[in-house]
This record gives sequence, C-alpha cells and structure tokens, in this order.
Amino acid sequence: MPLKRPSRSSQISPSTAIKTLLLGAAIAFPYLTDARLYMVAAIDVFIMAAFAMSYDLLLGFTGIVSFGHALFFGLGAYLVAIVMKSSGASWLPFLAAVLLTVVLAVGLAGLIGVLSLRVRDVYFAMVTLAFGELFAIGVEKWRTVTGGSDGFNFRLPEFLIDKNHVYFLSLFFMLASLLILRRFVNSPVGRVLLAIRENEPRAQALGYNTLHYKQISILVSGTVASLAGVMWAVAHRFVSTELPSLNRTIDALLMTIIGGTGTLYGGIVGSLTMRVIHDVLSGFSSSHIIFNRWLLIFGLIYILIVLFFPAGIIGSAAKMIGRWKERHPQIS
Amino acid sequence: MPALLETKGITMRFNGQAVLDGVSWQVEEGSFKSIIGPNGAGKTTFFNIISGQLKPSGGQVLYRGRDITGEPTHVRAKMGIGRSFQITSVFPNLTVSENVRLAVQTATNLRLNFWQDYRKLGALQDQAHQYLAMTRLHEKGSQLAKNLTLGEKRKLELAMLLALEPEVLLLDEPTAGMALEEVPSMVEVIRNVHRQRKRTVLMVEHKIDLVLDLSDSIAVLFNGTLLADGPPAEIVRNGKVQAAYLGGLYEQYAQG
Repeated sequence: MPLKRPSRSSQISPSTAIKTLLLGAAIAFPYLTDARLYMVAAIDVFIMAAFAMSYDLLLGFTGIVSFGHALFFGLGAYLVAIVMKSSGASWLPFLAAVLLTVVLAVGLAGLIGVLSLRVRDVYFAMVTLAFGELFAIGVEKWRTVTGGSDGFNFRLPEFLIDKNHVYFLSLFFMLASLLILRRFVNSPVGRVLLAIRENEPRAQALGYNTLHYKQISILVSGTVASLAGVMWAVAHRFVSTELPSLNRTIDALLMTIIGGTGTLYGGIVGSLTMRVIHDVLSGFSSSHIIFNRWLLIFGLIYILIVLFFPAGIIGSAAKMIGRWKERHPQIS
Repeated sequence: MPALLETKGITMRFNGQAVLDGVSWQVEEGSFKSIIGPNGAGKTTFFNIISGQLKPSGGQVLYRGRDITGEPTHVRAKMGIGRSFQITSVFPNLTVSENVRLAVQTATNLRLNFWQDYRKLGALQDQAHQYLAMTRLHEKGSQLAKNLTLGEKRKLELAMLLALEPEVLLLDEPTAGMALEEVPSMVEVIRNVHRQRKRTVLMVEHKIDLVLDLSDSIAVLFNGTLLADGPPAEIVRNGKVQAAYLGGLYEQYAQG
C-alpha cells in the first residue's frame, strides 16, 4: 500500500526480497522450460498484467469505473496490425505505428474524457461502455481494413518473432509500466487522484479542479493500455475483434479486483491468478464436460475471493502483514 | 472601501418555495461574524451560496467588491474563501497528515507534478505538521483519518481549511456532534485562528453561548429573511429575535 512510509533501515525488507526472487524466477523461466505453451502463457500474463495495472489507475486510484478500456487495447493492437500488413516486415513502419498508437490513444482519451467526465459514477461507466462498443462494432463492420470477426495475420521484423525476445520484451514492458505507474501514483498529481477516489467534493473544496485530474488519469491509463495492445499484437501476430471487446475490459476489471485495487501489484497477481485458474480448469476438460465451461467455476472462485478477501489478494496480504506488525512491533 | 464579503438580495427557491428571500448583508474584514436562526431558517443554504456549492435563484455574492456569484467552489477556494462542512468531510483512507498535506499542496506550484515522489517533498510535510500542531492533532499524523473521533475529524477539517491560508473561514457548525469535553479546545483553536492569524471568520452554530462568546457581530436568519444584524449585546436584547428564536418557549415564559 502507498500509505506506509519508506523504511529507513539499510536491511533488505521481506517485500524487496520477495520481489527480487520473483523477478529472478521470471528471468530464469525461459531457460528452465522451452515448452512453447508455457512461454505463450507467461507472455500473455505479462501483457494482461500491464493492461490490468492501467485499469487499476482508474478503478483503484481515481475511483472511476470504465467499461470501455479495451478500446485502447484494441486500438494499439489493430493499428500495429494494419500498418504491418500493408507495409511488410520492417522496423520503420512498426515504430511509426507505435508512435501513432500513443498519439491516437492520447487524442481518444482526451475526447472520451471531455465527453464523459461531466457525468459521474454509473453514468460515466455507461458513456465509456458506449464508446467501447462503438469502437468494437466499428472494427467488426469495417471488413475491408480489419477483416471483420475473422481477424487477420501479419508479419513482423525477424527480431520480434523469436519467442525468447518477445518474452523478455513483454516482461520489460510490464516492469516499465509498473515503475512508471508507481512513480505516477506517488507523485503530487497521483495523490490528488487518491483524494478524488476518497472524496471528490472535498478535493474540489480544497481548490483542485478534479475534472482535469481525472482527465490526466484517463490519458495515462489509456496510453499504457494501448501499448499493452501493441504488445499483444506483437506476441500473437494476429488480431481479431475479441481484442477491443467488452470481455477484455471485464478481464481487466476482474484481475484488478482479484489482485487488489489501488495496489498496482494486484494487476500482476490478478493476471497470473486468472491465467492459472483458466489453464488448470481447461486442463480438466477431458475428464468432465463441466470444465469446458471454465467461466462457471471461475465465477464461483471469484465470488469466494470477493467474499473472503474483499481487498483482493495483495490488499488482504498487506492488511494481514500490517496487523501482524502491530502485534509484534519489536520484530519489524 | 467595500466590505470583504457582501450579498445583495440573495433569493433561493426550491420548487417554487422561497428558502431565502432577498438577504442583503455584509462582513467586514477581520471580523468574527456568526449566523444564527432556528432550524430551517436557511442558514446552511445561505452558507452554500457564499461558498459556491449552490447557485442562488436571484441576487449577487460579492467578494472584495467583485461579483463571484457564478464562480465554482474551487475558484472561490483559490480566491481565499475556505469552508468547513457540517457533515465531516475528510479523505477517510488516507493518513491524517496526508489529508493536510493535500490541502497544503493546492497552494504550491506542484499541482501538475507527476514525477517526483510526494514523500520526498519535505517542505510540504513540514507545513502540514505545522497546521496539525495548530489544531492539536500533531500526535495523530500517521493514523488513518477514518479512525479519528468525530471531534478530531472536525479539527482535521479545520487544519485542512487553515492549510489553504484562506482570508475568510466559513465554519459550518464547527462543534456539531462533538463530545462535550472536546468543545473547549475547539473553541480555543478557532479563537486563535481569528485573533493570532487575523482571519475573518463566518460561522453557523447552534450553541448560543459559544456564538455570544466568540462573535463580534451576529446575523439572525428567520424564515429566509434577515431578522437582525448587530453586536451580540444588541442581538440578545432584540425582542423580535427572542420571539423568533425562542419561539413557543418564550411565549410559555411570558404566560407563566
């Protein structure tokens, strides 16, 4: 949680140790297994983690619920895909597409913000839903460019085809997103976002133009989400209408809640948890037909998590550690 | 010289019913002014119009002679009009010092800084601590605001208000809901703010002894109109005020 003060001791704290260990494991992973299946799963986990963290900036830090977040994901993915399909597998158009993605994401986030932030809560969520669906339908209907619901393949520079390269690139992307977002939420602007989440009228009474701050939040979040879309396109070399769909936004929402809102790390934990549950349950599908409907069982697990760990996995763990420290002040 | 704060013919209608009906009234710079009146007299509505939460149906609000009737709350806060709320309004899941630090931050040029770590901006923390000391909350800094007692929350509100360095403080029932033993220290804090820091204070309050004790001047609202406006001694003697404020009770006494 961002509430705790930085420790002044020179000793390595347990949380730093755990993070280092996990990072080491993530770096060693491709050398331990060359099973393609696991590599692809890990890459997806990294990319969705970044996407979920960008969603957490809205949900957990600013306190606004968006149902149109996949719009940015789809935007990044389709832009790169369309540019690469029409230009061939070279670097220059690829980088141009990434740049264009950022510019368009900022522009779209600005537009959506201006049009939707005037209304609050559920109404805001509904307006973002409308934008998201509009985009998804547009992608599906504009068959000449997007290939409709079949989607399409495209080629990439040689370097981006190697699975190891993609693995480390997505790991790096996730870590960069984490560090940038963490820096952002701990900045003076980020603290105002927390204030808005806690009590928006109060933040206004203090003299903050909360509309501007929410706009900044959507810009940053949308940009990170669109880059996650770019990474997804790179990792799969295939795009389809499933990318900008409402389901993807819901995935980000579930991951954030399972991992813990307002923690950033929750996005990573949530992404991993959901993927593991998905793969394990799907693995049982040959033993019983019910496992073909993995979402059914996932729904049950989700309900249990929300009931017993309302703060999410990271949030609940932080609370438990906090309580433990209160009881044993001499140890920490 | 124009009055610091002035209203001209403020009228407020909700569904056609006039809650305020042509209230014209002034606050001099450096004074301590209170608004009293029975429940439903329109005190809070009037207060909300001055701080910008509500827009009046008619009339003007002037600040230093400038018409601010159409200005939103955050602009008024920037101009120097700060208000506290009758219902305590803090950031519950942030620490006490972070609540105040956020208030300090509005007055700085850090408002669009999205790169530096807030914990390394020591000057802001020090200032926040200073306001906490002023409101006697300095030992509670690291607690979450939601864990404070009601009286402490009200003090926290006041600390946040002071951090904005407003010229006028609008205090909406600053001791409402407080435990009795917490009231004197709150009164002390308010008095210090007015006297030592030379701030203009405008207060709505039900505790009449507290109003008489603190105010230079008292305005009485009754049924949406200004019934009387003057120094405490004058208000106490005013027969109309006695009738309106003490209501049936006064008549009972008169009969008895």
